[in-house]
Amino acid sequence: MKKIVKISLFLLCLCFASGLILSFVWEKSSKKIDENEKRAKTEAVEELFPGEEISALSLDGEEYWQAGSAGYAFEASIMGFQDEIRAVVGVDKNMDRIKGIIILKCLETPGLGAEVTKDKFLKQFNGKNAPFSIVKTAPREKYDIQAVTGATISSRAVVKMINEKMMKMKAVIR
Amino acid sequence: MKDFLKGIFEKNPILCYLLGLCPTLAVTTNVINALTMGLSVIFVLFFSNVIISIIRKAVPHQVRIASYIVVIATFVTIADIFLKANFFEMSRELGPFIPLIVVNCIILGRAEAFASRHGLVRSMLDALGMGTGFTLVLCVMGAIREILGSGTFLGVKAVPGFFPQFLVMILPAGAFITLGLLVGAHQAIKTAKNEKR
Repeated sequence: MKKIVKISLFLLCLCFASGLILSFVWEKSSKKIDENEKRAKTEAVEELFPGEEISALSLDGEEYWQAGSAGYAFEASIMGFQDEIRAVVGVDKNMDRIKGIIILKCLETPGLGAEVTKDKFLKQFNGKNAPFSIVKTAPREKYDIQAVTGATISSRAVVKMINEKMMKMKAVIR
Repeated sequence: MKDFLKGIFEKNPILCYLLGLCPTLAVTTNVINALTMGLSVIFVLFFSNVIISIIRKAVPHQVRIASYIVVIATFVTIADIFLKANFFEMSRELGPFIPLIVVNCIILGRAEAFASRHGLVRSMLDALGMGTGFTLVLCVMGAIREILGSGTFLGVKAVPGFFPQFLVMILPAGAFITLGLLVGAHQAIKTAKNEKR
């Protein structure tokens, strides 16, 4: 009994010290990280709409970017297999064609889930409209997206993320 | 001094023990990735060895691995936050491999095999030696793969135009080929040295 108390107390102290140090480090750097992430987002939007004037807007509590008269872009996120997946989605001005998707954050398994950040998977969305459905074989319908082999959960998450966000943004922007 | 030197050649963690192969194979597609990974590992290895060596007498034997993991994870998270704040592009490039240092067996291995049994100074030297050995191998692999695979060194064009680029070298297969040749060369040099003696 005494042993258990001793062990627990030790682990408690160790974790407490660890938490203390980490919160201190986080406090110092979180602002810089936020700035970096904001810049990465703007850069992604500029990459989707090269040469267009980008303005950040907000409507009904949804934030999005307008790229001149070419279209819109917005951020989408969902829980993936391991951690959050976050992306910037570009859509044309009628909100019915995806211009491109750039993944900002993805901590899926390298070689499996992380393949959803590659062009081979993301290109399937371009020029099409949501809702998409996920298939494991070669796509037959126009809105079929073929899942990455060995990464059905991550692929499904990305499709769900795009479907839901597109639905929401269509309601807001129109 | 022996504690430092042994990690670089004689008992190099990658070439001799084949530890920490996941980052070795995955992030050595170019030199700068390899160097960042190596420096992060040196940082984590050094500070976890220091802390573990200091607390080694207080750690209850039954939960020592759990305690080491807490210490290691703390420093990995610090390294991750630091990279995100100051080298954002780099941290995106390396993606999940920085958080994955937590399970890098070199660090846990040195904690269990060395820092938990030796004093502070020796543990520090051991961490620096092992870390440097790891970084060196990573950089050599990164250089070989970058030059042969993309024809660049540190992102600058390094080979004359007529020189072919072997795509396989920046693919996973190239990592295994390079590692295999390095381990072989290391063994050959070691054997030659022993025979001389």
